Amino acid sequence: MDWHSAQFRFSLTPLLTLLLVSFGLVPACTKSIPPGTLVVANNADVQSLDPQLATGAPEGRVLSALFSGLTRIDPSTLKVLPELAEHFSSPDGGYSWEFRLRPNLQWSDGSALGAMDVLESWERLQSPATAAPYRDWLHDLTEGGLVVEDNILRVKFQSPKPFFPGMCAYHALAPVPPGLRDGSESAGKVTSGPFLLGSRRIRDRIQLQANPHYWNERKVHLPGIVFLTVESQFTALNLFLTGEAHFIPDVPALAVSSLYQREKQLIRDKIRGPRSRPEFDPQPFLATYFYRFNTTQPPFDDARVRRALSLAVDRTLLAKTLGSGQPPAKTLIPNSLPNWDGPDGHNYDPETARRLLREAGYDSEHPFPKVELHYNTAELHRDVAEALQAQWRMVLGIETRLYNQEWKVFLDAQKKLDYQLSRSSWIGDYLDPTTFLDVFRSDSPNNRTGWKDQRYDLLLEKAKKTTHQQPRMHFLRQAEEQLLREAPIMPLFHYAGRELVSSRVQGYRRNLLGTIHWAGLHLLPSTQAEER
Amino acid sequence: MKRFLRRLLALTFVLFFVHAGTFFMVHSVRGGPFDSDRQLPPQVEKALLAEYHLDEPLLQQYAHAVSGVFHGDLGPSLRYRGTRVADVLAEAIPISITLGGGALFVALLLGIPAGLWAASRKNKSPDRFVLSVATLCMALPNFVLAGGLVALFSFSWSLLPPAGLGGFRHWLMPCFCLGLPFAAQVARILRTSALEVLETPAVLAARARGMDSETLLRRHVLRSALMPVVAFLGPASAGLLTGSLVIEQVFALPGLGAHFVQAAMNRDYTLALGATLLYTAVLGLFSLFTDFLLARLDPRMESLS
Repeated sequence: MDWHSAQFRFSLTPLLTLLLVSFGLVPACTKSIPPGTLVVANNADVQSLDPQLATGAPEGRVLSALFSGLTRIDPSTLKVLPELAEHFSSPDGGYSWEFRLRPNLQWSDGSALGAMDVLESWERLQSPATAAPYRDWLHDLTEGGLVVEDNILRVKFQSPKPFFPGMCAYHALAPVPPGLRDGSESAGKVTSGPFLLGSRRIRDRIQLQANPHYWNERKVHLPGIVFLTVESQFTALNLFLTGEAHFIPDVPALAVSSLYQREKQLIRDKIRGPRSRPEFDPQPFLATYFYRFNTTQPPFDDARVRRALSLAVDRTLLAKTLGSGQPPAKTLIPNSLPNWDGPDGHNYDPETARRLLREAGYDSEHPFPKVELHYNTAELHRDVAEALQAQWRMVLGIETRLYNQEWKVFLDAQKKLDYQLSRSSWIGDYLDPTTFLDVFRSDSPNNRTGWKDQRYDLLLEKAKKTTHQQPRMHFLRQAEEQLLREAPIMPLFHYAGRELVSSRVQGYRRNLLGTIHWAGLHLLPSTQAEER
Repeated sequence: MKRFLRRLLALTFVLFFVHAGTFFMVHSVRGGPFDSDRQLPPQVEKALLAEYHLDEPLLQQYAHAVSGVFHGDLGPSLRYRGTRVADVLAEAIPISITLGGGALFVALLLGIPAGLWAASRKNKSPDRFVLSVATLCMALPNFVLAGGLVALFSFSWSLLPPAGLGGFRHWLMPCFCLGLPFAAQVARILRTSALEVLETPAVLAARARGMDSETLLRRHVLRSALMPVVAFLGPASAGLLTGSLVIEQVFALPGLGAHFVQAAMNRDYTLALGATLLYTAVLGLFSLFTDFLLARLDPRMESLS
């Protein structure tokens, strides 16, 4: 028998069939992107398209294109603007709010959308069966605090909520369609925002197209948006630099300096005018990177020790070492928050740090014990931990052991207070100091430091009951002072929004919340300069 | 036929044990599917655990999972709320078949000629060249190769897209990167076995009769020398089909490989179980298929086994 024998050919047939099938599948896996479509490399895959169940930034980007809230945040001014509600007001300093919905609003399937939809959606959000992560946002409604009358929604809280209209811009409070409320249809099928769901392939892409039933449909410029799932930041950067994606939400830290160089190069080569919006321009973002102390165990059950460690950190040096465009943080709340005048915070002060440690009883005869520092496996976190280790050794002579953990193990350890020092971060949801300060209330599930402080809780409670903005901010400032004095946490730096946005994208404004008004964007046709 | 059925039955047992092992392992790992740096309110977390039966005793959960598998239901994904595991896997399978099939094609297309060439020029420069290149290809990490190719083909020459799903062009780099180390292995295996065949009396006799070396290689050596390659291709194909996490990440391809790893990282118990079962089944079926192929190539194999 030889190579050409029938038997041999028969043996190879299945193998060749597999190869043919595999190439036959190429068209099935392929979807072309229509021209004029904005392509976003959206980091991790979206967990859910249900606006009440989703959390996280990639989800936020997709859901803000699909679902409109009663209000929206203007990306340039950060002012709260009417969206589905044409008017909103509070007659009593924020205890109650009235939203008058626009007439003739429609869901993307053409059915009517009214105030009753909002009411029923918020009832769904509150229901334990929904298991909605943002359920607490409506926890202090009064009994019967939601009423609908003539397409007007009235909301009444037990304490004033002056920032409530701003919260209504977030997808968690956007109305969800009747089919999703009664469980008869899947999430994303019917929407209320400027776009509707064209198709989705898990871990590949979410393709959106303009919603013809959107109330402000005339003002939507993009025919569609494609959100690609691209988990690797380097891959996202490659897609952007080759013109395959127009927007990427973050860049690898390693690429920051060369992206700055690239901006200069673009201007030098006259590809972009010096006045036009830069493609890369890190701006403050409402988020803080900090470390948690486990305050239930020695040595960190002593506030002096915690403060000593925090004062021994040179944050300016840290930020410079990281070199990734993130400004140093002396406080928990970023000073970029509008109308906020926060306390001075933790300055680098090695003398005071050493004194505090001595006062706490640690000296050459009673050396400070070796402590463990937990962080989840990632390059940035390792760099920060190593910088802290070096600075503490130099300033206080303290030895630390770095301990990296897989993400879920890390979270579990933090939740169970099974750590001494643990890395953390917090992103603000809305433009009010309480979006940060509420985290460290004694009863907050996000506290995870074991720190319980009556004075802190009381100050937040006082602020909560105050309708006038000035005394309210005064209480909140005092609360942050108390937090920094007791130091259950050690702020290190604030995040910067490091998105890369193609100069072809018009109408884009960088802002503190990372809010994107998708309806206001449009994509210029590719120019020759771009192709160069 | 009887032998085939016996192997199939054995595979069913293997699947059962792998399922049980995976189930208890993923559940014993610290952390849960709903842990997040933004902790859910306690009542919400409780409701979620109840919804997915995660508040029940572990044995009861296991019974639940086993009965699900018998009914052809792998359950809901815990990460992608509102999506069934079967749907998640079904979307990833065509991608993996395309990627794996393409890589296999690359492996055979490059590996077989290279292996034969090296064997026919034993200890001469072509042989040394093939061996060195093969060693380099096997040692080179996937991501380095991928990075180099992207730099050349996407940035320097603007010929191919750097990542993503799309037309035929999108598949060239990922298939090449995934297939190249396998091509190197095929070349080395084929070289070794071809050298053995070249020493057999039949081949020596053919050579003595004055047969030219090309005909000799094609008609007498290749067929026998391919046996170890076919044996290697079984597990290799399974590995290629379930994809490579690295290649999928670098080229942003939504195949099975990333699910296989990330489901465990996300503590998406049901998806991790589903992906492992699928992987085991594919591996089992491919080795079955390879044995069948080997038996066709060499009838002695059947009587041996």
